[in-house]
Amino acid sequence: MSKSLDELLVERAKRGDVEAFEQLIGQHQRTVYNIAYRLTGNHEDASDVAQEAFIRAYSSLAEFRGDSSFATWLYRIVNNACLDELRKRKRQRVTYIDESVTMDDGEMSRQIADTADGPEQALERVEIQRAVQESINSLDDEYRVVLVMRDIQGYSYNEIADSLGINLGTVKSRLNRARNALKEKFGSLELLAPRVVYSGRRGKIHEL
Amino acid sequence: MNCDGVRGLLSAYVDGELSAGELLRVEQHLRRCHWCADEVDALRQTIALVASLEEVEVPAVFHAQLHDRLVALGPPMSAGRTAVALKRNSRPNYRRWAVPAAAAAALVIGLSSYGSGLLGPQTPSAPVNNPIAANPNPVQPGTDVATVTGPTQGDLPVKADPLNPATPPGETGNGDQPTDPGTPPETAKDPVPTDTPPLPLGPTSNNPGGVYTATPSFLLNIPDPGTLEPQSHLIASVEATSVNPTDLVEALKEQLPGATINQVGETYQVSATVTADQFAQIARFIEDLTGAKAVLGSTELNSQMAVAYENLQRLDQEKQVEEAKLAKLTDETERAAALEYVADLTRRAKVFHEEFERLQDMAATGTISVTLKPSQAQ
Repeated sequence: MSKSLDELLVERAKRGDVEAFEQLIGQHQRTVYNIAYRLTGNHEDASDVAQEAFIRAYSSLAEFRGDSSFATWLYRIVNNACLDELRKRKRQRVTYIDESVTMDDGEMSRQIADTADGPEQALERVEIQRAVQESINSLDDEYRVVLVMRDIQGYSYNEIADSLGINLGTVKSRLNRARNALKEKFGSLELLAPRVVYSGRRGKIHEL
Repeated sequence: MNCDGVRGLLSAYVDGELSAGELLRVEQHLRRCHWCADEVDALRQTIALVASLEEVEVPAVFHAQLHDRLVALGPPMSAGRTAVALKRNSRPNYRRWAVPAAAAAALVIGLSSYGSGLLGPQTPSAPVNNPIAANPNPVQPGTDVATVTGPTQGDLPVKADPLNPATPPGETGNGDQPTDPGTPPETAKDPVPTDTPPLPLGPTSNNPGGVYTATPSFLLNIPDPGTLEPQSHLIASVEATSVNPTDLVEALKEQLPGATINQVGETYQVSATVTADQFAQIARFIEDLTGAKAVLGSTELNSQMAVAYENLQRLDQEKQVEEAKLAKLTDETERAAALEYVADLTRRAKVFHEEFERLQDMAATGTISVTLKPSQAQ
């Protein structure tokens, strides 16, 4: 069977070819960074954690046996590094609020530049993105992690349960709580389509 | 089942993660309860909003910082041989980690900037702080790139050739580029030879209070990937058995002087990076030599190139705006701030510049990997 580029690069990196590992970083840094950013909610921690993850991967490359793809293995390391960071942070400080605005002129301008819409729609889009990210940031860590793994990273319930060492029922209930909390927030920010806001009002007595 | 009994299941319902029994109950309920049906809608919208988050850009300094941390970590776990064949000469030096001196010497004779090739104080961090233009080409002008191949006796020289065959000159789609991006760096009209001090290009060269001279575009020498033919990195993988693998390894070594050879028990793994235009020829040669079929593959590179290109474009636009301001600024503090900003943009552009070059390298080369096992093991 044909080897993927990753497999070839991993083989070379295992033999001590650091250039190959550099290439692996180049291939995966975008995803790794984005996972870290969504989980930690700010660029400073995301940079730290994403770098930490690559360093862990580099140091334990010899243990990578190819049972899964390199990407799967690496992303698991990133998730774990994020969880460690979140646990640490829990003991130290509260979440960031405005990081994405203050630190991230690059992101904003890119989003504006990328869009085919006019400047107003583009700005609106940026606003929505920021509101969504801030809402996610406001979730408690244990809920945010499950939500990000499922709705951004696309992991299955089983995979999430395995990675976090919790049972399936806990994954379901945390995800349910996380989504409902976001739904409330998005509703109050008028991010949901009107008929849903309407029915939400109507269905208020049924909500938690 | 009433609404309370259903609400807790709706999130899993949306994901199709309910058991058959639960699914039946929820579906029955949803048919007659509009409130819960609307809840499902709201959940779906919520999930869609979360999923609509666009990827954020990796900060420009990320890779450089990571690189420094890895360098500080020391050499990699196994002291294998390192493939240094076929490095494009324009690859900035600082990205290079420890390179075994013998391998480096064998392969890069004549390239002064590769002389030690080992982690030197100059290696990890210095160029990061320089403007892009300060070190785009570690090769002395006039250095013959063919020396990269080292002592080649075989008839299949592995030659460092940054010319991408898929990129015919004139297809750059950028009429105002003074330099043909397909030109090998050693002959290029590249403005900066390496070992000389940085040219007066960066903002540092602009004397405070003096007349500001705009720096070259970040897109200099960068072709628009949208105008390029499909770019890909070729991969061939051959698995062969032989009564005497060592003979084959010797033969391969002769033909692929830059190859990395690894031995696990009696199994050998030989892998080499070769130029794209020699790729098919070498793959066929290896097929003939080993009597095994090569499995061919490739990795698409255009989309990654496009990302790097778009970032460079965006940074360049920002730089132009800032430089237009700079030309008019007289206040020293404002000037200093603007200069610092241009320097920062330049640092950020450097990363994407390198990324683009790395991708060009990959497009210009292919990887051939051969696994040789003794036949009695089969």
